[in-house]
Amino acid sequence: MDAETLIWTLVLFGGTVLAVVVLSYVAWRRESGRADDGEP
Amino acid sequence: MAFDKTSVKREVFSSRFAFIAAAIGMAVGTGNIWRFPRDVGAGGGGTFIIALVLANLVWAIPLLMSESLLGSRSRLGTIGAFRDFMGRRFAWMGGFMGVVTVGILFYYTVVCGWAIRYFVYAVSGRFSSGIDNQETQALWDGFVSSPAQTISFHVIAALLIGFVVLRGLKGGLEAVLKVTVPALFVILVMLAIRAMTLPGAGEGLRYLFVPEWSGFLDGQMWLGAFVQMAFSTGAGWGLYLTYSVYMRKKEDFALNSAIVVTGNHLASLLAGIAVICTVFAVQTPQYAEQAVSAGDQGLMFVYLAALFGQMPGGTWFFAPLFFLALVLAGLSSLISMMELAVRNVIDLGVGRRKAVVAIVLVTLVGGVPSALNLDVLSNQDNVWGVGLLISGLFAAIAMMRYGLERARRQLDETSDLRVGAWWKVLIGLFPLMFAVVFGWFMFLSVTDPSQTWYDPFQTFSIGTMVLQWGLLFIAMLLLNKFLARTVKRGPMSLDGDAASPVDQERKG
Repeated sequence: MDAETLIWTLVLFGGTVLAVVVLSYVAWRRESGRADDGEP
Repeated sequence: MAFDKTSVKREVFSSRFAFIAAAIGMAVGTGNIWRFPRDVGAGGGGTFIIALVLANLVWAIPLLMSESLLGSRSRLGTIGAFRDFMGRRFAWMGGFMGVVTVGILFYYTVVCGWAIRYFVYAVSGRFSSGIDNQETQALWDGFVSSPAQTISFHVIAALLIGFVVLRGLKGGLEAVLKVTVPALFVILVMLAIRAMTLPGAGEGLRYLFVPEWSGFLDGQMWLGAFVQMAFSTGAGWGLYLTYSVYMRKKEDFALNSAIVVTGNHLASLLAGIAVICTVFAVQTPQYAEQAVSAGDQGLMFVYLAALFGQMPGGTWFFAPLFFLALVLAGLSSLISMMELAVRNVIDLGVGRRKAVVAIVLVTLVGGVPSALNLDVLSNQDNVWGVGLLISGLFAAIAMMRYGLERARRQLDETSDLRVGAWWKVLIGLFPLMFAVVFGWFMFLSVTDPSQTWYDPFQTFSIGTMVLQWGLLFIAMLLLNKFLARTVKRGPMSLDGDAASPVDQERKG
């Protein structure tokens, strides 16, 4: 695999994976926070 | 009969994970697996993916948030939600949105039947070593020209989904989707890793991800990206609205919508890697080009099916796994479509059991023409697929009539991400984006030399779209009073003839 392909695969595919992980982590933290506040 | 807040015990998703899993299952469908790889190829690889990300940000996320507000505040299906947000004169808009999605439900059940059939072929070792695409073409032709088979598998898909929806939210939808959606992602990851490790897969990755910069000046590519986004994310279908009816009271809007859209995009990329890398690794680039231009069914059931016999572990492991992914993707979307229809019937005062039986029977009958004739299926896919853009416009108009600032405040109140002026700007611009995408699509249809654009009996003509949309518009307008009066009351419903929360405020 050439360098250009590797870079664009990392940017477009890796970026999507990273976005899913970060957004899911934020959601998980918020849910944990709600449970700690004694509030489904 | 007034709405009594204390007496209604609402069904709600048991957790945020359950809601997100169901919503991602709604968004991820067969289109992610068989349409996305073709669109990426036609749109110039990375160029198309970048355009798709932009379309997701400016169209899908704001629209899903709007749908979510409509469902979670009204606690009613599409008809009741539009009535209570916009006023009694606008219940027909919710009816239009619902019927468009039911139109898709009819033929999508047939498509899920195909996926089930091919999964059965795969587990019986049909795609064995030495099979070529002449044989898989003959297999496909033999299947679709056999009414007994296409109708049988259409019936199996409809009954399977009917059984899930019959069991309600907790015991049906949620229980099934909490397992099938993660399973679908596990399968897609396995298929993608396998495809990426095949010798020669690098050419497939180049085809998928490296942008052609001149492509950004190609209007056709942008249109393709926006149309793929509208079909793929489920924004404007009313499905997310329906699931939002079962949201918890203080649920997030913005972050959930972002996770659903991003998760759907990830599923597309995984499927794209699995399909494109396999085609490029196992065959020549010429074969690959031929495969991705062979249409949805050609790519999946003819070209890719033939490749399974040519790859190690293809016959007994990867072919069954691949068609299982197609089945799970299709059925998880089908569940949401049937729930949308059932929710609206329940709102008319019918019990869930009777509503499910009625919708399953209607689906069985409504899907038969598509099961018998591929041209009918293509026509319905085109008519109601483009009709979804109109449904999306209605959701944006509902927000405008309700008041963009008021809606923004309510979204921001419980969202984990800040819902600022950006949401108002994007929803405010929605009619303009709609006009460009819809107008462009119409222009291309009029100038298409292979069609007589005004002939209502051609598969892809504007004539057939306008005729079917027109009949639906007239039917819904005639039924408006009945729908507005008959749909049960929700927490937002007003007494008497008060038109909407907005009108009531103006009257003071």
